[in-house]
Amino acid sequence: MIKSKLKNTTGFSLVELIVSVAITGIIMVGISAFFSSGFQQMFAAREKNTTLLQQLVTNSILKKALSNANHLSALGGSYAVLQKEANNHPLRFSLLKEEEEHLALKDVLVFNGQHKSLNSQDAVKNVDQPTGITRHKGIYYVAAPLEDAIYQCTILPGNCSGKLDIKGLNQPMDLASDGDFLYVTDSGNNRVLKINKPGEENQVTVLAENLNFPTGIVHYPTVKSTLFVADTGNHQIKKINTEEKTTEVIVGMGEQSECDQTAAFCLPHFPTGLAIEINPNGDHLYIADTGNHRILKISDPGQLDSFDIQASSPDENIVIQAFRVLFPKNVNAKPADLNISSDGNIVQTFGKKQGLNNVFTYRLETELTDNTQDTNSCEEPCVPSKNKIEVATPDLFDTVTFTNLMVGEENTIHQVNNKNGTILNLFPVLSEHQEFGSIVKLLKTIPAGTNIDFEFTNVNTENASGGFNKIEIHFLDANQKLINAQAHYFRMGDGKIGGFEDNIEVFMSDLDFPTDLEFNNGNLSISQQAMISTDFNKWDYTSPNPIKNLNFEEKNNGHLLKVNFETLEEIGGEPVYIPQLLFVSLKE
Amino acid sequence: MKNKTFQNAGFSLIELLFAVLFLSVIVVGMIQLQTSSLRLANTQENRLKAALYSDQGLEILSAIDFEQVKNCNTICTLSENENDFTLQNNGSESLDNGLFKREIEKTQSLEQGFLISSIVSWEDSSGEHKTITKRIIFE
Repeated sequence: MIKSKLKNTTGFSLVELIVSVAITGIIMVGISAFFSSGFQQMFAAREKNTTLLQQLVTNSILKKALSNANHLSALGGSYAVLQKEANNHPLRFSLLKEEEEHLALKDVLVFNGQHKSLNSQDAVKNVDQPTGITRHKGIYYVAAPLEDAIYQCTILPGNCSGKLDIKGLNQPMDLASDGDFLYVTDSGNNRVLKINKPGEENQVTVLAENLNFPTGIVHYPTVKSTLFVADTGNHQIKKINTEEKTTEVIVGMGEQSECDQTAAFCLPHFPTGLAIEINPNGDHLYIADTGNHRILKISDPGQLDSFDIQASSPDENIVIQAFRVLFPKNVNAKPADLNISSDGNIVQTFGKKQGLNNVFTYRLETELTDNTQDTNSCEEPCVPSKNKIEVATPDLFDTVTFTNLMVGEENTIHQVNNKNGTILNLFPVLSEHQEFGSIVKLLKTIPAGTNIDFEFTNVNTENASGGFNKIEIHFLDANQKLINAQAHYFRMGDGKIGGFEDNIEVFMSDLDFPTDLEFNNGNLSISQQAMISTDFNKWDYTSPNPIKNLNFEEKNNGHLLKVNFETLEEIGGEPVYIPQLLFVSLKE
Repeated sequence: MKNKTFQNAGFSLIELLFAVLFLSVIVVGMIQLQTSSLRLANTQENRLKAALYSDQGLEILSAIDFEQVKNCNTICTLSENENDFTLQNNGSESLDNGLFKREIEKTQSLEQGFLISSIVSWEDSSGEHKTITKRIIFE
């Protein structure tokens, strides 16, 4: 066939031509398919590179945006809140989350006190991002930090008409009223202001300065002239005396993250919202411990500690005529509050007599300054100090009082020796007085009148809040003879006995990101994740492509944030989710 | 050519062979072009990945306790467990199914820290490659 084709030039027949065209067609289709898939692969590779480039860019953007982030404040399944050391606004956070199927990074503030008295943001329609609201003399006042202003509103819901003519406000966050004055946390200026006659004279007095971005503020009607303010950037709750313009820390002086004993030593993290519960059986202050995702509760906040003194005569023929209070050596009672004799802390009478005849009921409410922190010696009548305790004449005291001695923290006492070297067995027991620390029961019987000097060894007081002070009350007959005695114990802690030894507890935990609180009709309502996107946004990034499966992992004790997600890409004409991995390092 | 059309004589075998040869040259050329293009794309992808891994290495290192950096002999590797990344003197860290190898090098001691290099190396069809990113890690 080929030979014949070579010899003559008659060409191909029609059939041959069709066959050859068909073969050529098949080859062309094959080549085309080959190139098509090749180009597809090439484009896919290019698109993959684009995806990688995008990951690099995203990484770079996030790193730049989070360059000031130094603390992981909250970590949810699909969001992370990082605290930033932003200029002038310490309460600025960065929120990284999935928003409408995209990865979004925003600068946010975390306080939102707007639901005080109102439950809807729409109630204040013309105010951009109100954060605090209170009612004062029939008028609503609304804090508008984005406008550095306080609005006046007559009726809500509705439009707020005017702003208070107060110059120099810087991000006012929250408001409170005691009926006479309006109080505001001028957060950006790190202070609390008192405003007299708001809307008229607008007389401004600075009540507290040098705070660190204070946010929530509440008035406490039970104790005269008292406000509580969340000094958010300092991680403290403070009590402000509005008359004396004094500020005292009631929460946040220690490093106890458990927050289950003394309020002063509890360490909250970015506390924001506050709410007060007024109750005949005891008031409570609720604190949104925002950074710790929990609510704290303080009983009788900021009130002076008190104890009742009650005694009756053992012999009905002997009338209690007087009593005296023996304070520990170096404990100074305020002369204005107590009648203290000049020979040292012996008090004849004090308080208000409420009982009749031989039954006395007194209430001690006073602030006592304690200077016994470094006391190592003990003189009769001796009281527990850090490491020593002396037992005085036991027959004069109630059994419970006398055989139970309180020292240090629970389970930290290993042994106790008397001066003769005899080891006495001690064991810590729980009691209703646990808030004072452990009660150590002394198992050895001590003869009446014996004066034994005990020395506690291996007592770990480093982490304890301090030692304990015993206040003795002696009841006397007409001849000043002792007929009964009692003792009360106080922990030193913040350098004071009495004073602000409030008890604190964790009321709720494992919350998302609690900010504002409101106590209403016996219920505490919590506003969570009330994070406000603001005009302050310097960084506001949204990923160009949709994402899914965003999750965060905390590594190296919160110093590293691992971010996993998948971005939707179109590769080779097909939608494909590409895994992405980012790391953000955080160093405080 | 004109004659062939008019004479209806068809192509000779020689003509056909030339045509096939010509076509083959074109096809082979295009295949080579495509292959090298793919290789280039692959190299680019690997370089980008390496840059990413190298940068991530330094980011992770920044979060590691400085004592570990101090204790690192010249070349160290990062190791991840459930809660932490740690820096180890031994072992090797491979990424992307073993395609990349990452090492942390203490390049220079400074007064209050170290100049650290994050070195990612890999090998592909176009040879051996290395990407190095440097950062000063302060105490």
